[in-house]
Amino acid sequence: MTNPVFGICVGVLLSLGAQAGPLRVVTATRDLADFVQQVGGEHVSVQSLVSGLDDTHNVLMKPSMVTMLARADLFIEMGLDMEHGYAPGLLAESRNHAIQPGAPGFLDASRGIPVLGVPGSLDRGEGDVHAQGNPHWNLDPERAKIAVRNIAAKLAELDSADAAAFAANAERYIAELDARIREWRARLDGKDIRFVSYHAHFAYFAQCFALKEVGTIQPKAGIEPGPRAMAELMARMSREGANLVVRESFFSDRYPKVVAQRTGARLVAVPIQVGGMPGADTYIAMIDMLVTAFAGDQ
Amino acid sequence: MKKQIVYLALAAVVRVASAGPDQERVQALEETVAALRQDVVALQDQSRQKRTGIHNPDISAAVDAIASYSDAAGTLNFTARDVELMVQANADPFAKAYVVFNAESELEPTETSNPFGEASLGMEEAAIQTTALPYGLAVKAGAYFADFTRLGRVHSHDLPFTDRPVSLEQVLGGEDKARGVELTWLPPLDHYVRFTAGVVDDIGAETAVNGTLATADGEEVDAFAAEEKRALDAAMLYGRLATMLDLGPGAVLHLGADAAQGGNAGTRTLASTDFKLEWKPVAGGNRLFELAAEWLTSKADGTLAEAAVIEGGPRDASAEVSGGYVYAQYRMTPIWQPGVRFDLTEPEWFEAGEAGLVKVDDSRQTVSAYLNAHLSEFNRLRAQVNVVSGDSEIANGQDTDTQVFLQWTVMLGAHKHDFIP
Repeated sequence: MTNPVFGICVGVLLSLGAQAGPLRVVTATRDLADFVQQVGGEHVSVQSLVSGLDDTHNVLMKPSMVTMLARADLFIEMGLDMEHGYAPGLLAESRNHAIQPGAPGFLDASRGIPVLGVPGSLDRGEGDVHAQGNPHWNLDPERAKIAVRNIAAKLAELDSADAAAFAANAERYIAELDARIREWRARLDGKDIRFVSYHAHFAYFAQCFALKEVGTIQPKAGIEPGPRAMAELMARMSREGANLVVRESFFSDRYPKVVAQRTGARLVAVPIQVGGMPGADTYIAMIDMLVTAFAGDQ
Repeated sequence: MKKQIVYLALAAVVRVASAGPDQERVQALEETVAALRQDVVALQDQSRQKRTGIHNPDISAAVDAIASYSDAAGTLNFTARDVELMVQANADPFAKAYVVFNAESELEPTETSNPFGEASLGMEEAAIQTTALPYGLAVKAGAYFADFTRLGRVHSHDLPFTDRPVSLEQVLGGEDKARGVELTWLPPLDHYVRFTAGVVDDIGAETAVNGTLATADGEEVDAFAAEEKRALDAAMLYGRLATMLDLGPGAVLHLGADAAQGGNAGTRTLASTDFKLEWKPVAGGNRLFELAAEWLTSKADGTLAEAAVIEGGPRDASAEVSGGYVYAQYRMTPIWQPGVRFDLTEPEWFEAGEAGLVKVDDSRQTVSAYLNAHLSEFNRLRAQVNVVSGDSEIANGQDTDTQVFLQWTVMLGAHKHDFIP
């Protein structure tokens, strides 16, 4: 006969893990959390692992992230190895089999997104290369629309009863994005912006808004610049008429300041994720802040 | 395939360019672009699938080159201490496995290394882990570094400093090497807690850590005899309770406590407690402050080995040793990370019947300062200075020593960032 105390203990533990209500979604970034909120509305509860203030290549893994994932119905990542520094370790420790890669509760939001910067060879002599290409697609609102549709499809798969609401919300949000993209393009049109950034975060943003990316302060991904690399970058900026230095908010301003002062380029600090700077509280607000900074409208 | 797409695009452009009204041409162009985009995306998706080496295990290697100098001994040594090859992969939907081969040379700054000596290649770990157990459970079996103490489970090249603290060497036996089976459990609570329990033959790179006796003629022998056959009650049982607390947006406090008992050469009882504080300034990029400490104690009881028995003396004895370390380090820029460490090992006490309590080993204190230069995530230079003092001779009749280490560590191949409570 089963020991009743054992049975009660098991029951209590199982009930601790069970929870009814909206679909519990955990996203890697706040950009994705905003998309989920826009699409899922009242049918989802969403939390982001990172706050947006940190460099996603250097995230402090916290215990609350593990417990968050342990109870999630769905985990959504940016993909393209963007989260390789923290998500695989956290997912494994969560021991939530429903949200592991390949399981129904896992979504790589970058599926179907045209990728830039896919390396021809995988050699760390070229720095800390992302094997699947540049993962910072979130700064291109055109590509973001693909991710929004991916999210709507995944939410519908897990909660078919609300599929129509997810599809309608996604199309409403995409229409809003389209309207803003037209406005943003108009603000940047004819500005002839030629820029350098600290890391190659803005390849997709540049493509979307027809800007010229002259180079990066990091000579190779993850490598800090030496005097020679700095001199080469400034010479290239001079040759190609670069007029803007973009510093991602979490990077030190030490090198960007030097580059801006010596080349006469304008220096701006910008977020690269939702939550990255005060005021960048939604995806649209974040892109709007970027457009303002690049256009020099401040 | 890319060429084919370009030809298709050109053909489409030529076709629509020769067509009729502008509107039709624009529409045809839009359709062509849309089709091409789909092709590109499909190709990229296929490419991604091909790149995930589902049939080949991930392979990584670590190379750890060290130059050491001891002022007391007057010795300069060059060591490839920790040349490590790791192979790991999922075996099926239920288990993964990994093997670590290691050609390890000891780092002993006061000894003169053999310039023609070769490191012996051995299997450091070979373990199978479950990946699909319910209720937050996971099981590991084989030869592995046990989830026991904070730094005992860390491979030498991953230590925050060049040398493993003497306290860990003396109390635990260096690394947490073990052979057996380990169960971990993550209860479904709002607060992060992890329980670990295991049964192994022993823990530590050295099997008889404490209880080394100096006989009358000065020879060092193991105090406790190892049994020829391992009895069921000689297996070592161990456990660890680990938890972590979020202390605000950029701070995490790790807490841990461990206990173990068993062994085949006397009965060892191990206990330890540890903490680690991590503070990452908000929007601070790479900047990270770490403060960690650990205190360990080990007691061994048993029947003395024949070599350790003094004629007419007692047959049973016990030995006890304690020690610990504290360190702090700060990653102040993407490259530079200074740190300091204090390590203390108390004298080992040996109790043998009516012979009373005897101090058999000296205490050792080490104060260290080090500076890491992270040239990249996979390439690290380190300079470290140790000021060592003890109750007895360290080298050449001196009870103090200044040791200098220069270390260059490189990681090759696949890498991952585990969540370590």
